[in-house]
Amino acid sequence: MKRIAIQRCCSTPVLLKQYETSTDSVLRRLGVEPVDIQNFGCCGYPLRTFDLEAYLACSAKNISLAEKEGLQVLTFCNGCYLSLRQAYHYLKNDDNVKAGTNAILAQDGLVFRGTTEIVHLLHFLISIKEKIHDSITSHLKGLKVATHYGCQLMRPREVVDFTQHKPPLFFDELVEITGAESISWAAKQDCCGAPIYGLNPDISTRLLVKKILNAKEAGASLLCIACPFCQLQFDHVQHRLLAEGRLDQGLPCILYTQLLGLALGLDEEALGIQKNKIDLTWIKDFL
Amino acid sequence: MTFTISLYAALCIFAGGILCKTYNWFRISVGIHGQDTSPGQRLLSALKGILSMLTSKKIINLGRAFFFDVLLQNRLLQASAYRWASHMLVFWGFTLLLVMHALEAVIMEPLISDYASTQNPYLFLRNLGGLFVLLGLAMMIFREHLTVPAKTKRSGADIAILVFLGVMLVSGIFLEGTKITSKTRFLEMVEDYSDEDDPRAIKALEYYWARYYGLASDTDFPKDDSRLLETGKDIHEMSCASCHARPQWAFMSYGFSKLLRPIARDLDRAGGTIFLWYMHFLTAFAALALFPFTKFLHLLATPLSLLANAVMDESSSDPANIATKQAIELDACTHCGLCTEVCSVEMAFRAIPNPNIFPSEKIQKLRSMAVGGNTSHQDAADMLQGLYLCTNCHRCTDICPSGINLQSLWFYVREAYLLKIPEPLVLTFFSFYRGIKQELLGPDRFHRPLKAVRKALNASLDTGIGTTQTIELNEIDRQKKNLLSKSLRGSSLSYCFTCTTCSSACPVTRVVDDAPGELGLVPHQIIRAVNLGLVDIVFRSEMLWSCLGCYLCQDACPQGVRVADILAELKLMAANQVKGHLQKRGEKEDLE
Repeated sequence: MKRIAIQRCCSTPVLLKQYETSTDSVLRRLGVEPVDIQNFGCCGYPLRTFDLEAYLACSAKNISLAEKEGLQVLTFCNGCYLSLRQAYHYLKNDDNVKAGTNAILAQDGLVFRGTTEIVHLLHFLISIKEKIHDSITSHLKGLKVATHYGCQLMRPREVVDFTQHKPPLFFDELVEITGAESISWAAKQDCCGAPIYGLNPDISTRLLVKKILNAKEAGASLLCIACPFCQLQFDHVQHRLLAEGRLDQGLPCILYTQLLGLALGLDEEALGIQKNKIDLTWIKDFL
Repeated sequence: MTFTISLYAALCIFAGGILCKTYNWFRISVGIHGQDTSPGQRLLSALKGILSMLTSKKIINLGRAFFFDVLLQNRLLQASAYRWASHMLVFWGFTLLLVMHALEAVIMEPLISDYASTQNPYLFLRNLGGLFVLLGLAMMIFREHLTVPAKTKRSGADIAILVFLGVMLVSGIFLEGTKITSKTRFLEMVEDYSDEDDPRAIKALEYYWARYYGLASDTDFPKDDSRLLETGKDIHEMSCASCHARPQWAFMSYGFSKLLRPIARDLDRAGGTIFLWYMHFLTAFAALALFPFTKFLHLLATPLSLLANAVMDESSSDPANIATKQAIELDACTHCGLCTEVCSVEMAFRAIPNPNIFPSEKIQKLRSMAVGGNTSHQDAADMLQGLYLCTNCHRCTDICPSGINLQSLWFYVREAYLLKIPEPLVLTFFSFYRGIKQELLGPDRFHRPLKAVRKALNASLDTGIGTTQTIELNEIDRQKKNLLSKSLRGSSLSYCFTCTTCSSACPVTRVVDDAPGELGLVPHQIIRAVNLGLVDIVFRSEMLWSCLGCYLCQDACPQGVRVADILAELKLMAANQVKGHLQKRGEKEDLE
C-alpha cells in the first residue's frame, strides 16, 4: 500500500469533517494510506500577508517533517497547496531564504532539503485514473456537474503543477469517470470569493452569486468542489444567502471525494453527505 | 495548641479563599457574554441551569463524565498514558491519605467502630498511598526535566504544588519512621494504652519491641534473654497486639527507620519526632490555606469544568452561564502544556515571539489579567495578537485533559478584545473563521473590528497624499517603494507599463459597477501608484483589502509583473504599518 503524508486543512476539523473522512475513505479504497504526521501544523497560509518569516517557517516545518519520513505531501486544500508549493519554490530558489528558514527549523532539529513533492488530491487522483476507473461500482448517470477548480490549484503558474496539467481538464475528467457529465461554463475559472469573506462579505458574496447563477444557466444541477474554503463558500455561505432571501434558488455543491465515494460505493457515514448544509440526499437517485 | 490554632487559621483562610474564588467565577467575564449581568443574576442562572440539567436526560452525561473523566481521568489517558499514570498515582494515593489519614477523625473513626490507625490494613494502606504519591511525583519530575519543550516553561506555581506535596509526603514518612524508633513515643504509648506500671514489665515489653518492632532502645539489654522476651511477648499480646500491627507493614517508614538506626537515639533525645511533626502538619495546613490561591484549586475547578462541558451545549446555553463556565475554565487549566504541544500555529512563535500564541500560556496570562485589574495597552495588544493567531483547528480543545472548551474561549475572548482595540491581523485570512461564524456575532459586532483597523491604518498614513488634488512628486518619500521592490515578492514591480490587463482580468473589478467609488484603485493603478512611490494611497484603497489572491492578474500580465504577490506584500507592509502605529499610540496612552 502506498503511503502518503496528508496535510489537512485547519478549518476542516470543525467546519468540514466530511472532507477529511471522505478523502481518507476514498484513498484507502484506492490502495493509498494517508499518513498523519505528528506535529504537522498549519501550512502558514493566513500568515502570508502578515509575516513572511512565520509563514515560511510553518510551511517548511511540515515539508521537512515529510522529508524526514521520506513521504510525498498530499493536500485536499487549495490554500495549503499554494502555501506549501510557494514556500517550497522560494526555499528552493533563494539561498538566503532557505538559510533563514533552516535556522528556525534547526531549533526543532529539522532541516528543509527540498527532496519531496507537494501534490494536490486532484493531481494525485488523475495520476491513478485507471485504478479509479476499475474500482467504480456504480455510475452517476444523467447528473450535470459544473467543476470548480479553485484559483490556487491553477495559479501562479511558476509555483503550481501547471505544465503537466494544461489545459485544465483533469477535474472534468475525474468527474466523468464517475459517470456524471461535466458541463462547460463561463465562470469556471473565477474565484468563489472565500478569501475575502471575512473582510468584505459584500463583494465576496457577489462573486459567489455570479458563479452560482452562471453555472445554473449553463445547465448544471450540481457544483463539484475540491477545496475546503470553496466548499464552505458554496455550502455554508450559499445556505446563509438562501436563508436570508438574498438568493432565490440555490445550486447544491458536492466535494469531489463525496462524489467519487458514491461511485465507489463507499460507506455513507464516511462520505458525510448528510453533513452538507444544502440538501444533497437526492443524489442517490442518480446511482 | 499550635496544631489547633494553625488548623483553624488554615481552615478560615481556605474557606474565605474559596468564597472569594467562587464569587470571582460569577463576577469575571472574559468573553462577550455576561458583560451586563450581575454576579447575583449569574448565580441564579447557574442554579436554574443546574436544576433543569438534573431533571433532564443530561444527568446521564453528568454521571458518565464524573466516572470516566473525573475519577478515571479518561481525557488525560487519551492524551498521554505516561502523564495519566503519574497523575493517577498522585490523585489516588493522595485521596487514600486524605481519607485514611488527614480526615481519619471525621471519616474513619465514625465509620469503623474499633478503628486504630496502627492496625492493618490501615497501616499498610497509608504507606501504599504515600508510595503512590511519591512515585507519581517522581514520574512528573522526571518528565519535566527530560522532555518538556522549552516553549512551555514551568512557572513557580507549577513547581510550588509539587514541592508542597513532596515536603508533605516526605516529612510524613520521616515522622512515622522516627516514631517507630522513638523511645519517647514508646513510653507515651505504654502510658496511654496499657495498664502496666511495673517498670520490670515495661522493660520486658521494651526488649520485645526493640527486637521485633523496630524500637531503638537505649537500655543495655542482654544479648539473648529468652525469658525476658517471653514476658515481653505476653505483655505485648495483652496490651498492644490487638491495636498495633508490626511496623514492617508501614514499609516505607520502616525502611526509613532502618536507615535511621545509628542516629535514632540522638534524634529522639533532640526532639526529632516533634520537629518532623511540626513540619508535617504545618506544610499540610499551609497547603490547605493556599489551596484557593494556587494550582491546588484545580482539584475543584477542573472537575467543574469537565462536568460543565459534559452537559452544556453552548449554542442553547444562557449566555450568563457561558460567562461563568469560562471563568471557571481559567482556574481549571493546570498548565500541563498539552495544548501547546499540538497547536497548529505554534511554529509562528519562532518568528513572532509572543508567548500568547501558545494556548497554554494564553490561558494563564488571561487568568492573571482577568483578576489583575488594570491592563497595560501592550499586554492587551499581545493578548489579542495571540488570540487572533489561531486557525481554530480545535486541536487544543480536543486534547485538553481538563475538558476546557478552549476554542470557544478563544473565540469569545477574541471578540471581546476586538471591541476594545484595533488588531492588524483582522486584515488577514485569519478573519475567514469569524466570517463563517458571523451569525454568532451579529452584523455590528462583526463589522466594527474591520472598520476599527482600517481607521487605525488610515490614521497612520501621511494625511496629505491621496486626499489633496495635486501630488508634488518631488516631495514623495520613496522609502516604502524601495522596501517593496527589494522584497522577495516585489522585485518585478518596475516591469509594469500600465497596460491595464491585470485590472481587466480581476474578478473583483468585474462584480463592481463603480470601481473608483467602491475600490478606490484597481490593480494596475495600484502598481502604478507604488512605482510612483505613493504607497500610502494604496493602503487606503479598498481594492487592496478586496484582493482575493486568485492570481488571475498575475497570470494575465504580459510583462511578468507578479501583481498578486506584490499585493500580498503590500498587505503585509500595511499590517506592519498599523502595528507600529498602534504600538506607539498604546505606549503614549500607557504613559498617560
